[in-house]
Amino acid sequence: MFLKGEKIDFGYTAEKQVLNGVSLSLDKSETLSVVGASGCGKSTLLRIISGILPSAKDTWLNGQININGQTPDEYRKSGKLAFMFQEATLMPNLTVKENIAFPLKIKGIKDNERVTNLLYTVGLEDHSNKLPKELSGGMKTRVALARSFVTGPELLLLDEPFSALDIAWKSKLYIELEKLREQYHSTIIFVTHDVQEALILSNKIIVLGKNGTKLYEDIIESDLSIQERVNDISDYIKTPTYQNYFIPIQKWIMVDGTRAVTGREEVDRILNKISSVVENGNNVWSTYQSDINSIKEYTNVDSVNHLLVSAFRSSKSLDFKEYLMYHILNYKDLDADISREIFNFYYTNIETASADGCKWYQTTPEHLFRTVIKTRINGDRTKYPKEKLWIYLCDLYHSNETTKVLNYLNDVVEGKIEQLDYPFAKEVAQKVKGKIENEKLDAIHIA
Amino acid sequence: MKNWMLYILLSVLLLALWQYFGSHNQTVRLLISSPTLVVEYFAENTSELLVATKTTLVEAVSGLLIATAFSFVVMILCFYQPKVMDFVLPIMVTSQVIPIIVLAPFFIILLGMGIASKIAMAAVISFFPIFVSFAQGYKAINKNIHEFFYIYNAPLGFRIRKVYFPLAMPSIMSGLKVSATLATIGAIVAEFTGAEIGLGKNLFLSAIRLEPELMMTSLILSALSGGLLFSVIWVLEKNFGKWYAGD
Repeated sequence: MFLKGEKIDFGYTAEKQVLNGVSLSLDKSETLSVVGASGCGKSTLLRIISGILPSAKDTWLNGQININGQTPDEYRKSGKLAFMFQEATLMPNLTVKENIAFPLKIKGIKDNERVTNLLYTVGLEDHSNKLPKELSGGMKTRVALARSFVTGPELLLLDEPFSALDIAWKSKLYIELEKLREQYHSTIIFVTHDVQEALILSNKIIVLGKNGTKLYEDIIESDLSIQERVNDISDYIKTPTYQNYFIPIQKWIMVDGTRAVTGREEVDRILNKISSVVENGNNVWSTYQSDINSIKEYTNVDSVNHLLVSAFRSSKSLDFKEYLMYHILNYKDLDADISREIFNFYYTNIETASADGCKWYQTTPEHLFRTVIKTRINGDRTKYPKEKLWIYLCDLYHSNETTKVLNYLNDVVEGKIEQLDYPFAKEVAQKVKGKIENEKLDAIHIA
Repeated sequence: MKNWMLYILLSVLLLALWQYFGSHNQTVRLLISSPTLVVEYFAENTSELLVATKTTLVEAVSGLLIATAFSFVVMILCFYQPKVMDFVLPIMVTSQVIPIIVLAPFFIILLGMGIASKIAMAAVISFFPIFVSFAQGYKAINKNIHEFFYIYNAPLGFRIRKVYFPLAMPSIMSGLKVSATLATIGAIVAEFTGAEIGLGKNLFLSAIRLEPELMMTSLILSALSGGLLFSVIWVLEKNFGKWYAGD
């Protein structure tokens, strides 16, 4: 065993205990993810392993940590450890290249070739002489990632390094992280609050609870290697293996995060019910309306939506998918990928749903405007102020001015309307336009 | 219109007003003379005035350099012995309660009428802003940066040279700019209380002898000396502080 921690108790003061009997173990070249809600002690655990804690006189630590036969402090001094913080923590006075080379400079090593190779690996070869203030957030994280690997660390500790980045940057960085891990055979401990990220990047996972106890531990057994997972995230997150881990882990976090103790049993009951619908695919979704509302009162909306999105992806029942769809669409921070996925699902399944006897195939264009366009408004209010578009289209539709609606949609398709998220808006407009035109043709036929 | 054009216009206007009232009003002439008379006076006494300016500048620069070096030494001591900081900082703050100018006679008695007492005064008056700015700059360094160097086991000497000094540079430079002006003031005030040569002595004599031309030339040269010191630091910052310029 490369790293073994047994019954770790830690407190910042005698009264304030943060970790409570946490044990963990890790073999060489494995990646362990530590997930949990904010304030559960994930970062503290990482700082203990790195030897930063305990530091101040009031802090205390019980339990054993052994890294390759050494204590954390001995291991840190051996120089085989690297740490990547939540913020990039770059030296503002040094260029990209100098920042990457800085850990080598501390050790008195000059290795231009290694630094240049890392620059190429993280795709920053054209920015090597820029200062951090000239870089975007994603680029800064790339520099920090390259810097973490420059000493060829045996153990790399990552403290939510990608949490401030959008999904596009995250996907790129997952690939780069995996590439570098392969190259240097590093063992990684990855702290995150994002279960999806943990399931993509690790072989092992532990969930920490609010009071610093370990709630859950599992080995991620997947047919796909980490490299395959990061190369095709959208496929991986739809696999049954992913879903089998995601829902129980998210459930642990949600139940633990439930504020009232009495609410935990209720949340647990509802989550079990949702899991059973996802697995069995029955068609009694209307009975879940009150359950979902009730669960939102008990725990945070973010966790509920993570769970609903996962249930949406894995549910076998179209009817249940539709029910989930409306809940997900009401989520104000819905990301573009999910809204696109739901939209495409809607259009690809509309015929099947109709044959299944679902009611939602009768959805009017107005309904579509509300669900789809409003989703994007909610998705990023500041960037796409599109309430206007929705109100405009609904008003026109209600006043039966179909031609005007079509003209407007035409403008959207042709890219004449600013402020819209192209090509998504185009895609929506094109499809809504098609639907209205078909309705018109039907009306002519009937007439 | 650009700002610099406005400044030039304003200066020309003030000079014209000064010239007009200095030539037509006896009281104004006795108080602040007139530009033409000041220029004439400067032309007649150039060498004496420049020697006085040079003396004051040497005192101010020496004082500033001593203050900078001393604050760096104290700060490095604090890095090696953090408890020194807890001990030194309250003394520094308390010492500021004393109006430092009153120490000028003390330095004259201690170090004599020569430039040593003026340098001491300039050093004492400019030490505090540099030291406090440095301490603040160090304290503002992100906690993660400290942890980063702890993880890589970087020796303290390396951290002081490559991290603490460079990252505290914006604060140090702000302190130096304040101290540059203060050092000139310190040297001049010390010269008031007794000096063989210097702009402060000239200003003192101009009041006793009722020589407005001497007063105005010394005043202008004092302002230029302070401005020169400030500009040198500004140029230094332009060269060494590129990474934070524009923040």
